[in-house]
Formats: sequence, C-alpha cells, structure tokens
Amino acid sequence: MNNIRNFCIIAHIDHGKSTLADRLLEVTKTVSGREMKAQVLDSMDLEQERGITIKSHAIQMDYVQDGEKYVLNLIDTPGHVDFSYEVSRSIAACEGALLIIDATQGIQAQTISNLYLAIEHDLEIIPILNKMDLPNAMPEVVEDQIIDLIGCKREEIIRASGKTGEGVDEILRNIVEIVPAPKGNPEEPLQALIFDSVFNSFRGVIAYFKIVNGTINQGDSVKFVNTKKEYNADEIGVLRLGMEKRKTLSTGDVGYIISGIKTAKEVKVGDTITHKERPTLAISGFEEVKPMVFAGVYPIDAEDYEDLRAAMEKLQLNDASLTFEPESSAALGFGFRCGFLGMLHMEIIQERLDREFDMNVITTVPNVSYKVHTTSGETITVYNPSGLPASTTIDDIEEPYIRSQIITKSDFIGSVMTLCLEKRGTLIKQDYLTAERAELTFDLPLGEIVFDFYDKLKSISKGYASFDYHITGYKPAKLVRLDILLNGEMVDALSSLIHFDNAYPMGRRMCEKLKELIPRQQFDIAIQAAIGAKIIARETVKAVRKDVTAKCYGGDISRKRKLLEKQKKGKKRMKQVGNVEVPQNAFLAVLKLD
Amino acid sequence: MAGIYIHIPFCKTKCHYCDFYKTTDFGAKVDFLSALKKEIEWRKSELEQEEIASIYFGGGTPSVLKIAEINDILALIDQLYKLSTDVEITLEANPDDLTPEFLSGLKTTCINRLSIGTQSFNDHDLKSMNRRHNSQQALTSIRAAQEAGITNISIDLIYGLPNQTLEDWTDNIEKALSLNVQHISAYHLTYHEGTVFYDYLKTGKIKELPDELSLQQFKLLLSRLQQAGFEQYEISNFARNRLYSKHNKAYWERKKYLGFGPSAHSYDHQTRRWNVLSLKKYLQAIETNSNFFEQEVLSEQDQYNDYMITSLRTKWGISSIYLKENFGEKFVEYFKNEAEKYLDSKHLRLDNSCYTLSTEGLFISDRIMEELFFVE
Repeated sequence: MNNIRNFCIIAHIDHGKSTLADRLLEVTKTVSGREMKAQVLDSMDLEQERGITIKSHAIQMDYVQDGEKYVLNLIDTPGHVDFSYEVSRSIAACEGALLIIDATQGIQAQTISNLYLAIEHDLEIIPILNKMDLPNAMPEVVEDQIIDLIGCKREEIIRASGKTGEGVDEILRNIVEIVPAPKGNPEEPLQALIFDSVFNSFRGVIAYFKIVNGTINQGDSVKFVNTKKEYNADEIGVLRLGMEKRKTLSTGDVGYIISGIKTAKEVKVGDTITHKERPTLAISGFEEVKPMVFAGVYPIDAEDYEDLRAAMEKLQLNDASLTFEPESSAALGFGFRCGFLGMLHMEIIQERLDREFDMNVITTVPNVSYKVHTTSGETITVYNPSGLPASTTIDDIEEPYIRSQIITKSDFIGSVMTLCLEKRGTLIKQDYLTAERAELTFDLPLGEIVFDFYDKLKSISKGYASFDYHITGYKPAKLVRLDILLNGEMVDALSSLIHFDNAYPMGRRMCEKLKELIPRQQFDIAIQAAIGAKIIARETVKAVRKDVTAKCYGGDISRKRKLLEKQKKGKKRMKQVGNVEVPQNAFLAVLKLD
Repeated sequence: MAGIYIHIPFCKTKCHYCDFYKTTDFGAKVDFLSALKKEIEWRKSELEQEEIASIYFGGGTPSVLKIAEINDILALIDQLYKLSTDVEITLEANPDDLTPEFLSGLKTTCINRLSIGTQSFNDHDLKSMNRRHNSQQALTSIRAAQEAGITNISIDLIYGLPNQTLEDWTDNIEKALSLNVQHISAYHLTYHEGTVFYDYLKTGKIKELPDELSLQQFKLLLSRLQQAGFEQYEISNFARNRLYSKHNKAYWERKKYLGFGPSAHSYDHQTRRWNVLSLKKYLQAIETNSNFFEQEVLSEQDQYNDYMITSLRTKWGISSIYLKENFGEKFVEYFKNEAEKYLDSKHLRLDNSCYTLSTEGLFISDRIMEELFFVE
C-alpha cells in the first residue's frame, strides 16, 4: 500500500491532457509502441474526434524509482462542465493531481473549479506547464498565474511537453515523491468508492472503484450501500491497457468489479461497495445525478418510434445520466422527453443516436425544469413548455439558478458582462488573476444558458473565455410561454418559456429566423409569435412563383433527375406541420438567434 | 428511330452563362476530328437496327468547323448508319461565323437546319454575356442565312438577365418576330456553377432578377409568341407550322440517341452514358482504345422519374396509357395520387388521358415534377 500512488489530471480541454497521459503510459511501458494509438485513454470514436474525454477511465502503471517498485493509478476525468459530479468522484478517489496548464493559453475557468475540488479533497497538486515545445509558449506569465492560484514556488512547476516528452521523467518522480500513499486500513470492513462505470455488451456493467478501507476477494458477496443492491463479485481486477483479473484487491487499490449487473442505472457513481456480511457506512459525497436540461427527441419518420425507443434504452444501458419518458407533440407526433446533464451531453446523445443507431431525429428547443406553484397550493415540476398550466391557475414560477465562473482576457470583460446581464445575470464578484486575465462570478438562470450562451461567449471573447458553473437552487421568475404559429396553427414543439422582459424581442427574432429557415412553398406562410392570444410578431414566407428549368436536353436529364431526387429526399426529412413543410433545424431556431 | 449528337468542344471565347463543355484551345482540333471519327465508327453497332431521324452538331461552337470537315463527318455517318430519307440535320452556329462564304458552303452539305446563337438583339446584353457578335450582326446573320436559302432556322434568345427590363425583352421579342424564323428557343438565364455569371452572382457583382420580373418576362414571351403564330411545344421551345426540333423532341420522347465527342450523352432506354468531360482525356482514351465514358443503368424508378421530367416539359405531357403500359402498379397508383393534388390546384390539366402543365403549372414545373417523382 505504501507504494501505491493514485492521481488524476486536472486540465482544460485542449491543454494536452491526453497526449501527456500517453507519454506517461509509454515511459512506464504500460503501452508498447505498437499499441500506442494516439490518446489511448479516449477510446470512444466520438471522444477522439471531439478531443475530450466523455467518460472517465483508469489505468495502472508500473514504475521503478531508486530500486523501489511503485504502482501508479491514473484516474482520468472528464473535462466538461456537464460532468462535474463525475469529476468530483474521480478526484475523491485520488491522493494527488497533476495540474496541467497550456503554456500558450494560461489558466481556464474549468481548470480552476476542478482545482478547487481537488484542494477541497486534500489532494497534493503537481503543477505542470504543458506544450512547452510551442513557439508561442509564455512560461513566465503562466507560471505567475499558477503561483497566484495555488501559492507554490516557481521551481516546483514542471515544464513539459506531451509532444517531445520533455518533463515526463520529472513528473513521474514527483508523483512518487509528492503524492502520498493512500491511507486506510486493510483490516477494516470493506469500503470502496465507485468513481465510474462502463457498459460492456458481453459482461454487463463494469464498475470502477478505489478501495478506501478493507480488502475484496473474488467471489465475495458485496452490497452497494446507496442502492442497497447485493451482488456476487464474479470477477475483480485491475485496469491495465485492458482488464487484468486478480484474486484479491486491498486498501488503496484501484480496480474493477464485474457482478452481472445489467443496466447502468444500478451502478451509481459515488456509491460505496461493502461486504454483505460486514457492512460499513457510505462514503460521503454521494449524490443522485439529476438531469438539468430537457428536450423533446422525435423520430423524423413516425414509423421509427419503436426503433428510437430501443436505441434510447441501449444508450441508457451505458449512460445512466440519460433519462427519457414518452411524450407526444401535435406537431411532431410521438417521441420522448429526454433529460440531459447539460448541453454537451445533449449533443453527444444526439450524435450517438445518429452514428450508432442511424436514427434521424428532431431535437426540440431545450429547456430546464421549472417549479410551478398553482393557486390551489400545489407545486408541480414542469419539464416542457406545453406542460405549463393555464396562466390563470399559476401563482408563481421558480426557475433553477447557477453560479458561474468565467475567466476572460481583460479586454473582453465589458462584452462578457453585457452578455451575462442580457441573460439576466447578477455579478457576484470580479477578480483579476493577472493584469490581463479576470475571473467573473455571475449568478445566472440556467434556462438562459441552455439557449445560445456558450456560442455567444465564445464569439465575443474570440474563443478565449472559459466557463464553469454549478447549480445553486431555484428562484422565482416572471416567465411566459412564447408560442409560434405557422399559418395560424400553433406549433407546440416551437414553444418556449422565457422571461417576460425578453418575450417581445425574442418573438420578433424567432419569426425572423424561421423566415430564413423555412423554404418557400406554393403558398404564403404566415409565421407568428404569440403570448396567449396576443400576437406579438409576424413574418411571411412568400410563395414560390417560379421554379422552372430553362433547358433539358440529352445531357441534362440524368443530372436533373438526380437533383430533383435529392431535393425530394431533403423534403422527406422535413416535418409536415399542418400544410407547411418545416426543416429539422427550424426546431432549434431559437438556439441560433443572432 | 434514333438521333445522333456530335459535340464540337471548341469556342473562340467563352460566354459568361454557358456551362457546356468547351475549350478555347484549338490546338487539338485535328486530333479531335480523327478521334471523333473513330468513335463514330466504333459505335455503329449500337444503332444498327435503327433509322437515324436526326443529326445535331452542338457545342461548343460547331460553326468553327470548315465546310469540308462537316462534310467528312456527315459522309462517314451516312456510310455507317442508316439515315432516314427526311433526316433533320442541325448545325448550331454563331452569328459571327455565318459569313457569305460559310453560308454558301453550307449549301453543299446536307445540313438542313440552322440553330443560330443570337441570344439577344441588344448590344448591352450581348456585351454583358461576353458574346462575340453585336446587335447588327445578330440581325444580318439571320437575314444572310435566309437569303442563302436555308429554310429551317431556329434562333436562341436569353432572358432574365440581370437588370434586363420588360421593355428590353419586349424589344428583343419583336426583333425576333420581325425576322420570320421558323423556330425560337427562349431560355431564362440559369446560373450554372463554374460560369462567370455564377461567380458574379456569388460575389455580389450581379443580382438575380426578382421572381416577379422574370415571371413577367416569361408571360410576355408566351403571349407574344402565341399571337405571332408560334406553338409552345416545350417549356423553352416554340415552333411555327409544326417545325419542331425533331432532334430535341426525341430527347423528351425518350428515343434512343448516340452522343459523340467529349461530354456527349447517349441513351438507349436501359442506360444513360456520358463521355468524359475533357478533350485531353477523350483523345487519350480513344487513342489507347480505353474506356471514355461512364454510365448508369436505369432502374424502373429512374425510368419513371425520367419520364416525368422529360414528358411534362412538352405540350404532349404524361400519358396515363403509356404509364400503365410501361410501369408497375405502384408507380401508376403513386402518380395518380400525386397528380390529383395538382389537378385540383389547376397546375395540371387532364385531357384525353394526358396530363399536361397549365400555364400556371409551367412556372413551377420543377416543383411539380419533384412531387411526381417516386423516391424509395
């Protein structure tokens, strides 16, 4: 146990975490050159393409220093705000953290909030400046930031490059010397923290854990404290490049357990594994992960409804944070109301539906969940604008709020502030990290973030601002339902709940955007925005008057046939709403308002 | 009955609207002619049983050929293929090529129809399109051809040009009518990718004519030509005394045709094929006796869709009898259902079991064809 080192990596997306991790694996000979697929840790296709780790993993390395053998467990963490709870559990499983900062970019909001989490859990921090090989690296400036942030000495910061391998040996030495060995007692009752799980179609759910106290043997009868479910430890082992079976794992070890669990829902990150016969208390910090963003997901073709359900069920097998329940829309037919951890999670699910299941879906405008207090004294939770009761029966509505950290270059403070205020934010505090970089703390309604906040923040800060948040609770809000009508017919899938003060400009912009997105058809199409019975904005898509090909001779026929076939296929992918054909992207129009 | 198309891929200059395959480099002209003759020879078996009803020299600019070269090609075709006694042989010609010498030479060939690329009688239009002739040549070339004794003349006109007013267009139509030609092809400008006009449009140098205006021009064309005794037998084609372009009409009636030369298309009911779109590759392929075309085999769905786009363009329309005889039940049923909507909206008419476009339907014919298309 004294020679075990458990550590994680805290880094912002693109700061080179995966590349540097690859180096560690290489130098410790965990992975041979032949096996060295770039960025081993990100195994899902989607992860590799997006360059981010969606699900955390762990990998064990052997390392010899001064004749002493050490076992290093790297616990990988997802790098996105949607997965902050998973990050917190991974951190809780470690005794140390590598803080990787891109020497060309400096500290980002994401890094700071994860760093604070690590410090809260008493992790030893090893600061690393990565990408030192790049000509635009500015080590002194970024070192100053790091020193300000964690109060270390300049010489404690390791200059490294995942690309050239610079600094990698020093990092390994520091892991051994600075990160403490895990504490705990092998003789005590078993207490293991589940920090992640994956679904394997042959083996069922595989849970990853770190043993805090006690010892586990293959074949033990175990119990998951929070779910109260009992299993047999069919197989336990450690995570090398693949899984390696072990008979026994003890305090401080990081490993996996296979126990015939069928669905991801049964394994909750943060839960505690103990022995059935000699149980212990749960490790503190467990939370049920609750979806925060909701959207309707509908098959384009009504016939695909059952296939979509099957696909969602499969996705849920390995992604317990996805929730869904059947929903129907007058405009879109039968589909599902899905709950996601955040916007990125929603995008990932949409993309996985497309890639892994070839499901063509329409996703409606996302919204958060609201608490509606009715005049009769009831409180109902509303996940969908159309679920809002009649305005006469509403006493008041509460919406979820977040506290957010935004780190930006000082040049952009003004525009970031304007954006946050526009989004109904309240400035809590403003700190200068350096002369050029500031950290802004804002309280914001989550509902404003799910619209077009990220894109706007990126564009006003030229891509530099970084953003992180956590939910703080509910606050009352003056919300109204904004409806959209096409040729007089209300399109429920386009309704949104928004703050009254924004309703008029929003209605106008929605109509303008829809006018751009809805192709001209054989008749005029009236696009209207309404609050209740009151029309607040209107646009018209003029009918097509002329659509004719001038010439069609021998050489034109094939091409023209193919062109018209393609157009027709495109229209098949549109949704018929009343007599109007509406393209898929129109349902997300509200997200793309300028 | 079948047709032969010959693509002459040379132009002295390139017009800003034209997307046909052509080159301004005449260096390979001699090689091209010998390759063309080889292709004509190689493919004779493809139409062995068929009588040739039409031959069409298109381009490019076929009027850059010498009289002797035209005669050579025609003699070869005559020798290898069976020509109908009343074969229509059309040559596309640029006004500036129609010199007295060329015209008198033409009389020694079997060319019996001229399609003159007039495009406009307005100097400003002609310049903007990068045509080589001016308005004066536009008029005189047609008169000269008539005086030379060519009795079947078609002229091309383009409308819907950027900034073209209704007055400009009226003036063009009147000039065309004053010339007593037998046939007029009037095309609305299309912005094809790869053309100068397309680039101008994309970079904002020119603007597309508003829908309303181009529709007015189209309507004016229809009424004025009808008054003058022209019959609109296809969306862009008008003829007097039933002097339709036999060759083009055959395309819309899905008769077989062979296309010779780079980029030329061929059709034999079951397949459509197209020669390579490059003179260099064409010459190399013919030289080395290797494959110089691509082809697609037409499924029943392709054939049905082809039938929609070709026949609906003409005044003869879609025949429900032809449909029943040639396509399976699912196509016939599908068609009936889809066509019903347009009969109701009066975009289609049904007479003697033929579906044709009404005037209103003509304006949105692409949309209607698309609706009638069968896509699995």
